[in-house]
Amino acid sequence: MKCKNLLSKPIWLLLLIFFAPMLMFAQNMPVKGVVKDDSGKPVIGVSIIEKGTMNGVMTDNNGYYTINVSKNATLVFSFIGFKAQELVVKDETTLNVILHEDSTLLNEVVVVGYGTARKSDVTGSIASVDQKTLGAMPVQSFSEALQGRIAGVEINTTSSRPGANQQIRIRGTRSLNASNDPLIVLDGIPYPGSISDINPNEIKSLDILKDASSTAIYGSRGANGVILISTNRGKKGKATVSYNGYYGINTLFSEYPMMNTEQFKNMRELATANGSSWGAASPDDDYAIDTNWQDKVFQNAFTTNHDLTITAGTDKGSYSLGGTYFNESALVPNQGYKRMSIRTAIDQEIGDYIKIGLTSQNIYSRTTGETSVPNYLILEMNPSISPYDENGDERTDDIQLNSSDIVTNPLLLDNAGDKHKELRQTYATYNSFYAEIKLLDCLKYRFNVGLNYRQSNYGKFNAPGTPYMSYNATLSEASISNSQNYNWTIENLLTFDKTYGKHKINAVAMFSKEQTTYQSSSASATGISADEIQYYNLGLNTDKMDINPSNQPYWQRGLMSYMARVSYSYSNKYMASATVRSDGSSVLADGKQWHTYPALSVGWNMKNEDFMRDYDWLSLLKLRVGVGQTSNQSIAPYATLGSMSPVYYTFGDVGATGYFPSSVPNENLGWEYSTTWNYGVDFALFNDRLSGTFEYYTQKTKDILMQLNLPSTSGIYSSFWQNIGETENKGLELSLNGTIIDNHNGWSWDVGFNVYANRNKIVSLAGDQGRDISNGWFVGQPIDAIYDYKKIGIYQLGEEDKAAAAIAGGKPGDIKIAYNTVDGDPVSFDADGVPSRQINSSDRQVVGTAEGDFAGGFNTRVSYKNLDLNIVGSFKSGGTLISTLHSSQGYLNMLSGRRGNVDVNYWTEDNPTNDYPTPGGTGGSGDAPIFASTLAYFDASYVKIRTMTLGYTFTKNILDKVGLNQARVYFTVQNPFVLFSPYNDETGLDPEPNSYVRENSATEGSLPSRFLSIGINTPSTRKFILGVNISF
Amino acid sequence: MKKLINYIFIGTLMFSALLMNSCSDVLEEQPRSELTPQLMQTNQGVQLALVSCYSHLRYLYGPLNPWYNFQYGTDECTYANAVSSGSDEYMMDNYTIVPETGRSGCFWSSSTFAYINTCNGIISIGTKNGVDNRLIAEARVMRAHDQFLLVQFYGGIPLDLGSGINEYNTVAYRKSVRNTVPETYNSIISDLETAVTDLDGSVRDDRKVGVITQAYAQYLLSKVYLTYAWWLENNNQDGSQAYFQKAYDTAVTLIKNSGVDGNPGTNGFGLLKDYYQVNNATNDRNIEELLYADRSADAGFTFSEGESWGTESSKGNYAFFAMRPWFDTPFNGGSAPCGRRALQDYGRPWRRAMPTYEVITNIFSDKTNDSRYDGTFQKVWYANQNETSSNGALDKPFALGDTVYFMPGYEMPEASTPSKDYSSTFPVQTIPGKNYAVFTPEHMTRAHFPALWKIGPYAPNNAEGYANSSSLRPYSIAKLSEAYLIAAEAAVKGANTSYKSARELLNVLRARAAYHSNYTDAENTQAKANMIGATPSSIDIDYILDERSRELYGEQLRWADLVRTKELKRAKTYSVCEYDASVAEERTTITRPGLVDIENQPNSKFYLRPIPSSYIDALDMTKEEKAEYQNPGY
Repeated sequence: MKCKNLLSKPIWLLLLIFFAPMLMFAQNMPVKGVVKDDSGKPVIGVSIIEKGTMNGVMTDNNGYYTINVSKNATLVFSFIGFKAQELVVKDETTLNVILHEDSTLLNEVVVVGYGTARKSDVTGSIASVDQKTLGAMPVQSFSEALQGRIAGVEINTTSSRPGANQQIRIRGTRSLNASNDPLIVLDGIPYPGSISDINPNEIKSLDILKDASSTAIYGSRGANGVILISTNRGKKGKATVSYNGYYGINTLFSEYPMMNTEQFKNMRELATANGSSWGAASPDDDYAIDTNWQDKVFQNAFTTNHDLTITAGTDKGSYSLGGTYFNESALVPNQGYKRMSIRTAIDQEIGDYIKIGLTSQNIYSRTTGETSVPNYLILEMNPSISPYDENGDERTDDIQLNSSDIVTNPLLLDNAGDKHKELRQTYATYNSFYAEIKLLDCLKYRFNVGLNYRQSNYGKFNAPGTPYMSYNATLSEASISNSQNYNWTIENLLTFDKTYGKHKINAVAMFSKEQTTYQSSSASATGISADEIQYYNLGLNTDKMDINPSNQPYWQRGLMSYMARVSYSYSNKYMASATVRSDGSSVLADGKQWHTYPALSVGWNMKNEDFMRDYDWLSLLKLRVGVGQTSNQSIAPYATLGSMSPVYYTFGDVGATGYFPSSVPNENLGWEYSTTWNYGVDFALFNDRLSGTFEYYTQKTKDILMQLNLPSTSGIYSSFWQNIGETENKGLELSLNGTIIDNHNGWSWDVGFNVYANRNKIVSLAGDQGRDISNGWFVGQPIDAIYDYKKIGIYQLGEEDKAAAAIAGGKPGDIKIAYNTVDGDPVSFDADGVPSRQINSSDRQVVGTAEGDFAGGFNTRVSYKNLDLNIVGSFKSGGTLISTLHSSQGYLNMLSGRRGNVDVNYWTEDNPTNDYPTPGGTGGSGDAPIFASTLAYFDASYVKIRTMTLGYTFTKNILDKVGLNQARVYFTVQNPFVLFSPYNDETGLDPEPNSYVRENSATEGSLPSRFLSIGINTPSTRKFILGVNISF
Repeated sequence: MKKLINYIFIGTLMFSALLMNSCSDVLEEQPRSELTPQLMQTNQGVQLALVSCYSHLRYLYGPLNPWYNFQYGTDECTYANAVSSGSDEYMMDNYTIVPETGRSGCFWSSSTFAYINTCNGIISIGTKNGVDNRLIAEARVMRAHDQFLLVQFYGGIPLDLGSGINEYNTVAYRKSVRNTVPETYNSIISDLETAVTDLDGSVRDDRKVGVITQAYAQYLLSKVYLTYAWWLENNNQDGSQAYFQKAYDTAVTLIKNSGVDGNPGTNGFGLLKDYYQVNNATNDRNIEELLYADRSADAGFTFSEGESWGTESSKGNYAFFAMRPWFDTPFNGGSAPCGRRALQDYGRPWRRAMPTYEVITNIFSDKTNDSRYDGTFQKVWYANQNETSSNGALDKPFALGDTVYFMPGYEMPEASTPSKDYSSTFPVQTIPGKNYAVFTPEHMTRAHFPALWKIGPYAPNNAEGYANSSSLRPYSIAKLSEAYLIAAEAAVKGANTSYKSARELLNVLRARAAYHSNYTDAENTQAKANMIGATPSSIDIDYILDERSRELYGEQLRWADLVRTKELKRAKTYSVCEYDASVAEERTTITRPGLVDIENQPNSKFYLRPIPSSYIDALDMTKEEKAEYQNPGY
């Protein structure tokens, strides 16, 4: 209740600011002039300061300025992106200046969290991406544009469906049950929204804080890295309109490799001969037919984007207004993603000392079909069944795949009409306001308010008679779910920035508070009275309505923080930065809520030492080292309080709800800490033609927030959050950027390359527990270790005895599993190698890890005059790729003849392969070949080109004739091809994951849900995009 | 001017200070969409907790794992052809069981201990808050029920969950100490004796339909006495005789309070007249059922905990999937004439368990006078689908309602030997002129066998329901008829028979079993005479065990019966034909690997189940303590 008037409070301050009179200072000599750049264009907004005083002005829209100065004053002309110039006034009253663009990497400004810093002063590990890089790819979300761009930042697709979010991991994973997602800070305010709500076209710069000496400033949320996003703001000058638009065709990257009729028939016959009861043809089978179901259902889709921005500014204020429309459809019917956004940024100076600004981003998006992935139905269809009846019309009757499985024709997906609808509509508004007051020349106070709201309305309806429901379903099903997320943040910042001769000091102090409230309600009903009602009125049902108490979450979480940072540099040679932050979080137990995070980093710019002066070929050599502590509090609110959970019963026909104590209060739950050491070298050679960064880091995370299962005899049902265990990450990162040809006869050629390796390890788990099989955690192994049987081939002819001894009923053609001779049950082998016991669950072992040996990316830009070609690629070496398409979990590689099968190289007497077992061989659980879970594992290595863009920039003389400032057309191919990948070689599929492992397969399987996999999601696409950028 | 700057500065600082103080409650928490354990401290919370204890019965009665644990590896059944070697089911049946597998440890889990703890809370908080003694007594019975289940399967259990013996635990306790078997039984007996007293005067369905009354408490107490008496005797400890006597007396008290012939006694319970009606879905919740895990047509309260079609949800009623033969396979590659239905006669054929040859021919040898074979098994399947496109065993078309499979339960001279004629997918027996397949006991396979009809599915409002779904029927926990068998067993073990002798007690059940609703009165009279005449004059434990199978076949009792009486040797061998789609297999006798020498191993480890290793892994104890915790031999 106390916060009720919060909104009105800043207004008092505003009023105060608005009515503050202008501050004037007496001067004695007018100087005027114009400031232009190398190309002769006036530069707007250049700051001109009389050195040693607070006297200063800025250039106007035409680059002109007028200033009153004392005689013999020195004027300093500076503007971001240009080299500053100092000129002595003497007697001139007109001083025209040409500012030269500053290409030195070191003078780039990076955002460091609660402020900015010159890159040359930075001592932590910060990677920056500019608009040019982000704009190089026409993509739906910024994370896609980052893929392969930054060493140490791994971005994985969690779903190939349009509108799906990606997963970002900075320097590996460290937390077992709490979140591993980085903190995103949008325009200075911690961002509570979804990655896909941020329009990549609106991002001006993106900075990634990787090590703790940089992220400690975000304290309890810094452990997983921080992504700082700054969006476009207005520029001083006349109104500029820019338009970015593109349209693209999304084509199928590759069909799922399914058997054709001949292969299917052969497989069935073999399966039957081997004893499978599923090999018999169904009445609908006709082996003279060969239907490519994927070809019948998948259709080309499109992506389109229109982005219009208007910016303008005077010498005191500027604004930027923009709107975007994005639309992407999918290759399968009834799936797609649309986003419309409107954005405003206003900056206004009031007098010389006060500046206020507002940024508002408003997004409306529509996601259709987010859980309606009909691909299993499409792939399980026998190729030997025709989708058409004798008249050539699409079949609407039941289709029988085998002796018992009956389905509905997948071609009918397109004609669902009112019988199917799944729509999520999201409205989000992210707003930040600031007021900055220059208290002294070197001291600024800044007040930030963030007000964010996101609501999501979801509805799903399915009526019988479409492929979205079982063929014999009788009742329609509707459900709705509506959620709201409110978030506010207040920050008070004091910034001190002063140079005393060679000493440069920058200090920031901050106090902040924030609170997030989430509420969601959902309900479902069956037997909706008429199809057109869909989910719009659940009360109109003929059967029942359900409000599940487990699906009505409400929570509120708050964070309160104090922070201080001091950065010091001496003579551009020695730098140091120290940070302290104290965070208090509501989600932790009383008494454990507060913690203070220290961080320290130092740097030595060796090149600036006198003894290095003679090495002309070296333009930069900087060493840095940093250490800091951060933590993680990403657990659900109320985790410390325990709960009573509802269960149901009926006494006769009377329903009853009961509650039982399912978890207990935890009075000791505290933070999870990560301590990171970071060592870095920045270098530049040959006049900055080759530059790069090399880093090494170690990170130890302890007191891990782990959901520990209590022994059942404790009588406590649910798992229990505890601070237990330790993980470790170590890694190397190398980034290189080179200019091979620097504007030689119109040719330029730039190349960028990055490579990184992370080694993750669980150091300890609860107590002396060495492994936690149900969660798949093993001490000494990476968090993403895969635990299963280890396939070493297929039993061949001549190995009858071994097969029979290893598997009950085992024969040649069955999967051969390695015995675990380290910690499996005792086993011995006779002279012929026949084992003394069968394979059992003790033979499971760590068979791989999702983490690769190393990964990275490369990009190159070649330009000749106005033509340019950009290529971005990425690679990964080692690691295990999980393909549920191929394992027992997916039901599509059962080799039993029951339904459509993946085209695999299976064993026969004439084809003694070690790849896949023989059809109808010895069975394991659920009709799959025994140990068929092992068929999921592939080498995850790949090299692929992500995007290729050919662009043409129109020359100025052409543009002038049509009244444009700038114009460029480009043609992009996204995901054009895979250069190397064992998985792609076998299947033709995109070797990057498209699902979480328990999704998009017929069953959930036994791997923990955190793994990514290739399942039967909306197929991966190759996009051909034509785009244009215009401004006038 | 400078002053103004100062004002702004001060104003700002004040404003900031205001903000800092105005919302210092951001660190406080108040959950609003979930309930905290505080609720347990109220009377309402205690009553809601008791409802949850009833709900927990669904974990133990209905799902497959409890059924498997009681049925596999007994003389009542073995695994069927959908069980793959290496699976838990296979190991349970063969006694190659290991602590690592999941299913055999299913009772040593939160589905019991979390509710034992809930009962602990109901009893201690309820007593303190003055909650009605009746409710507390129900919680005592519930706690005793779970502790009794555990002690039979695993031996002594930890009575202290972290906050003291039978105390409500509210701490995250990661150690455990097992009490001895006598300590466990003392706790169970004390709870039940108190409950029997406190439930005095309660009658069937009085508080709510299907609640615990004195009758069930008496039943459970008599069984606990009987089981403990056996344990004392088997372990050469004193006092068994007194407990056999108490078992007899308690069971007899229950019998006396109950009725027969379909009439309720003073407690509202009684034996039905027709055995078939005891398990007929349309007659569920009849007066013979002392307690059941209830489910109803109200799917919202029956399916609402994550249950969906066919999944092995932890509370779903789908044990009936297990002993269903492959009736939905076609004969010749066409469509199957007989499909799954949510009806007691069909269900979903998971082929995980089957009756042995010996059950069909020896235990249920009398199928004429004894109606219990027909009240237990399904033997005929009628065509219910694909009328136009499916053919039968003789490759001739079907009409709806035609017989598809026939499993008579006896040998038929007119039936052929099994062969794969008429391009049949698998070998069957046929009868000249009949278009259906026959499997006589001699030739029934692991894929084709009589189904356990008793617990078949039923969906009252939706005639056919969803074929792959679990059942909406209540699942029987205890029947009055077992009280007769308990008293008879105690009598065989030497209890004074103040009421009826063992033979007389069994004859009550056998006489009832002779009743056939389709017989004439004269035929029924004759059958009754035949049944009683066939009862041996002297009853021994073997006969009691046979009779228990006839009366209570497949009702989640058998493994405990064999363990209690030290009769695992009865399960040592069985015979069956392996299923092979290409050739007819001969019936072979199989010796269960773990029971090879069981008659010479009175202390075989197989008289107890292993404590699941996943549980032991979760304990925060030393390696030695953990090894000590496990049952010997595992």
